[in-house]
Amino acid sequence: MPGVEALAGNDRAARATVNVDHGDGAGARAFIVGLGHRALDRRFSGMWVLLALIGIFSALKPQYFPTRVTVMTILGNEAVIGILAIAAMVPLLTGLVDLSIAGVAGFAVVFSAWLSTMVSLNPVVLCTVVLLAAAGFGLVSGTLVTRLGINSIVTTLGVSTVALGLAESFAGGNTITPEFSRRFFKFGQSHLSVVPLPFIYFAVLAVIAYVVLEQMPVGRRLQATGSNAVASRLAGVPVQRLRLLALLAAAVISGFAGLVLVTQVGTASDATGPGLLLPVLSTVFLGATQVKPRPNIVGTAVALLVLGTGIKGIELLGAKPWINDFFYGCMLLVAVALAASDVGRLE
Amino acid sequence: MVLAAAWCCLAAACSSSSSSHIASSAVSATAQGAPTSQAAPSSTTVGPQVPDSEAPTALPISTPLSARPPAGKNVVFLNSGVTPGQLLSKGLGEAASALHWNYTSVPINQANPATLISAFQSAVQTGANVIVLQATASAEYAQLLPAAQAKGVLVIDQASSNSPMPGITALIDNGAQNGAQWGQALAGETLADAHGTTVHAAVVTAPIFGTISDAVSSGYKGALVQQCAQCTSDTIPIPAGDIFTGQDAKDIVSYLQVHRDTNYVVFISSLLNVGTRAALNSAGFNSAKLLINDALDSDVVALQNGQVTALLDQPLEVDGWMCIDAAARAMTGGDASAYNTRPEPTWLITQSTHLTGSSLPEVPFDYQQQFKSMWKVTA
Repeated sequence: MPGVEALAGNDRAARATVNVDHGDGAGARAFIVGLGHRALDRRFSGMWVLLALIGIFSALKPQYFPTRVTVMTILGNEAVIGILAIAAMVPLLTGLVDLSIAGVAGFAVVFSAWLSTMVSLNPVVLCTVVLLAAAGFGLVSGTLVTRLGINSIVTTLGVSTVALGLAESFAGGNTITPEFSRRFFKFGQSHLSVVPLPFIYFAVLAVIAYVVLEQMPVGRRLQATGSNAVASRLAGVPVQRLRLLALLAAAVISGFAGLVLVTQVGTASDATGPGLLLPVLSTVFLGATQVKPRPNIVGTAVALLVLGTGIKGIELLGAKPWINDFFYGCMLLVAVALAASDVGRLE
Repeated sequence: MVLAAAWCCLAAACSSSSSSHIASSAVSATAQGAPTSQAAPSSTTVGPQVPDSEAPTALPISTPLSARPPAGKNVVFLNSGVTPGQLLSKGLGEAASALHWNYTSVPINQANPATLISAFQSAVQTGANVIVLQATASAEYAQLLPAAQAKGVLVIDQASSNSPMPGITALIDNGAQNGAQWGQALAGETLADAHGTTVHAAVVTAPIFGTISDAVSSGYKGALVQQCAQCTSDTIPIPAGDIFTGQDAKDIVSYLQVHRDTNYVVFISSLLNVGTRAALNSAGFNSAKLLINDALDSDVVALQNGQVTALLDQPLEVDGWMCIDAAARAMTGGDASAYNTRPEPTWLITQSTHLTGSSLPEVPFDYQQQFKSMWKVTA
C-alpha cells in the first residue's frame, strides 16, 4: 500500500533501503543513505538545530559563548524548567493537560521559605512537608478530573490560581529570605565540575522517568491511556487511577522543582511561579516533535538544551528584553505547527 | 543526555583559556580591589568623598497645619499587593488611625487596568474622601479624575513618575522628580567604595518601571561620569517576564560574561534583585559589588551578610504618613502640592552603618511624633 508507505515517513523507507543488498557494495551505500535519511528525519532535527546554534553563537561571540561559564549558566538556568517539563509531560502522556505545575512550584518556593522562618526544621523534614503539600494539589486536581470528569485544563487552571493565592497569603506581599542551613542552600547552588547540582537532579529524574515511562509496563499503560482512553479501559487498563497518579506525580515533581529553585535563588516571592509556565510548555511541546511523535523524555531534554542555548546566545549578543518571551513564543508556535503537520500527513 | 555530555566536552575543550582568564581576573580583583581586565587601575580624580550617610532627622515638610484635621474621613488605598504596597498600606493605616480616619485597602490587579478603574469608581461612589494610588501611570486613571474632583475626593499619587495635573492633589515620592537624586547618591557611594579605581557600572533597569528607571539610571550615570571621566555606566534592561522569577539574575550574568570589567551592579529597584548574588557567585563573578535603590527588608540581611555593598532606604511607611499629611493639608487650607517637589527622606546605608535588627528602618526615627505634632494630635 504505497499510501501507507508514504505516511510512515522516512524511517520505514530508510529501513527498506537498508534491507536491500545487491552484493556489489551497494549494500554499504544503502546503509549510509539509510543512516542519512534517519539523521535528516525531522524527529532528530533538534540535534542539528542545537549543533547549529552552538556553531553560530560560537562564531559570533568566540570569546564569550564557548566557555565554561556559558555551559554552567545554561545548565543551571534550564534545570528547574527541565524538572517542570518532566512534571508536565507525565499527565500529557495520559491525555491530560496540567497547567498547575508552575503555580504549585511557586507555592513550594514560598511555603518552604515561610516554613523555615517560622520553625526550625531539619531540611529532610521540611522537604517532606513541602512535597506533601504539593501532593495535596495533585490530589485535588486528580480527584476533580477523574471522579467528577471536569476538563483537566479548567481544573488545573483553577488549582494553579488557588496555589498562587496561597503563595500570596504566605508571602504577605513580601519577598521572604529563607532561613535554610548553609548545607541546604548548597542543595541548589553547588556544582559538580561544570554541572550545577540542579541539572544533575534533572538528569537523574529524567533517567528515572525514561525507565518508568518507556521501559516499564506502567509507562506503556500511561501511553495507551493517552492514545485511546476508551479502548484502554476496555482492555483492562485502570485509566482513571493512572490519570490520578499522573497528576499526583506532576504535583510532587513540581514541588520538588520549587525546592530546587528556592535553594538556587535564595529568596522567595509569590510572583515566581506564573513566569515559569511558558518556558515549560515551550519545552514540552517542542520536545514532543523530537525523537518520538509524542511527549518523551529524550525529546524534552533536546528541546531544553535547544531553548536554553538559544536564549543564552541571544543574551550574549545583547538582545533587547522582549526577545526572550518572543523566542519562547515562537518556539512554541513552531512546535505546534510541526505537530499539526505531522497529524495532517497522517490524515 | 549524550548531547549534553558532548556539549560539555566541547565547551570544556574551548574554555580552558577563558576560565583561567576569569579565575586570574577574579584573583587579582580580590587581591588588589581592582576591576578586571581591560581598564588599568586609574589615577582619575574622584569627587569629594561621600561620608557615611547619617539617618535623616527631618521630614520634607515641617510646617504645622493651621488647624487639626476633621475626623471621620475615609481613606481608600488601591493596593496591588506587592511588598511596597503592603508597607505603604501599613503607614497609611497607622496615620489614618492617628487622625481618627477610616482606612480601607482595596486589592487590585496592576496587570489589569480594568480592576483599577472599577475600584476607583467604587471608592468615589461609596464616599471616599481620599484615594491613594501607588506606582500607577496617570493615563490609567486620568479620565476618572473629573468625577472625583466634582465630589471633592482628594487623589494622592505615590511612587509614580507622573507629572502634576488637575485632580491629583499631591505627588509623593515621585520617581521622575527624585529618581535623579537617588541615582546621584548611589553614584557617590560607588565612587567612595571604589577608592580611586575606575568604575565600570551596570545599572539594572526594567522598561516596565517606565520613567523611574530612566531617571535613576540617568542620575547615576551623570553623576558618575561627572566625577570620574574614565568611569563607565551601562544598563541591563530586564524583561517583565523575568522579574521575580529568578530569571533576571541570568540576564545579569550574561551581561557580565560579555562585559567582564564590570565591577559594580546597581539596581534601580530591589524588586529586580532576586538571587543575583547567588547567580553571580555561581558563575564566578564574586568580585562584582551590588548597590540597591529602593531597598526592602531582605536587602538588609544581604547587606549584613556582605552580599550587598550599599542600599538606599526609601521608607515606605513614612510615605504612607506623608500621603495622609498631604490630604490633611488640603483639607485645612494648606498646600499639599508642595510635596511634588520635596523628596522623601532617604538614608544611604552601607556595611559600616550600625543597624539594630535586620529590617529596614523607617526614618526619621521619630516621624510619627513629628507628624502628630504638625497635625496638633496628642500622642
